[in-house]
Amino acid sequence: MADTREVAEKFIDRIEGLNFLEAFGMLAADGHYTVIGKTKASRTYNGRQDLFDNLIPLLSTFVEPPRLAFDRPVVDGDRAVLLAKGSGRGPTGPYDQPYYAFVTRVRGDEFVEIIEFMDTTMLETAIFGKKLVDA
Amino acid sequence: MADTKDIVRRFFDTLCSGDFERAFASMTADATWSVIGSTAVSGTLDKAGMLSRQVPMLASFKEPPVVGVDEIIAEGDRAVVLAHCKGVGPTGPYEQKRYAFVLRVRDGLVAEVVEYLDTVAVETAICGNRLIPA
Repeated sequence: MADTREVAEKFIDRIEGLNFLEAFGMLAADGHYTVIGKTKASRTYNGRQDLFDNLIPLLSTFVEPPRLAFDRPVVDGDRAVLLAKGSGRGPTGPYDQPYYAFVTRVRGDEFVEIIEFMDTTMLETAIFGKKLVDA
Repeated sequence: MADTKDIVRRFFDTLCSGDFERAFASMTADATWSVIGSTAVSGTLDKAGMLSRQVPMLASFKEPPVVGVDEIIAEGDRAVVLAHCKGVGPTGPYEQKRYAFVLRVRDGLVAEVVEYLDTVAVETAICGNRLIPA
């Protein structure tokens, strides 16, 4: 059975290699994937199928997929926190995320929990076609 | 020497008590605090900036933000604090159901904090902005 760091590093290799489907396929069938905030993509996806059916299509609209580069993960027991930065081009604007964090919990060779932290305003402008104005 | 998790736990206990000056005193002289995103409060502050900009920003809340720590994950000199927060900012309700603070410690002190949060909530509750279709 893989240990926490090995699972985290496999995920990192897949994301850095732009193999997003294989990376997200590491979520357990009964795992939970949360995108923070209140964007169209933000919620907890319950199970791998929910993730593939509902989040992946939202992210498949990138004009240039985000290329991420990771730091060494912070590993503590079954927890691994994966820190990254990256950029690409969304359907409605440049996508620049100098601070990404994936907070994960590992079970066996899968993730049972992933919480994705990023600049949610960037999601809104680059993917969902919004802009900021004075209230 | 105390381990990373203990140092970070004490730091957050002090922060959550509202004693910012004592919390900042437990940071290295060259410590930095970064907030992700491109909001008016995003960017990297040194210790002087924390006191001159961050503390007044927090003081501008109509109801002070109450932060609760849920978990601390640590390895070596790095720790990740998972937390939540609720209050009322100067321009609207402020809620962060999930916060992540990534810290680095050095010589028993906090040397770096990076605050990962929902930047849209910052824009609406603190900066007085809103999102509309482009």
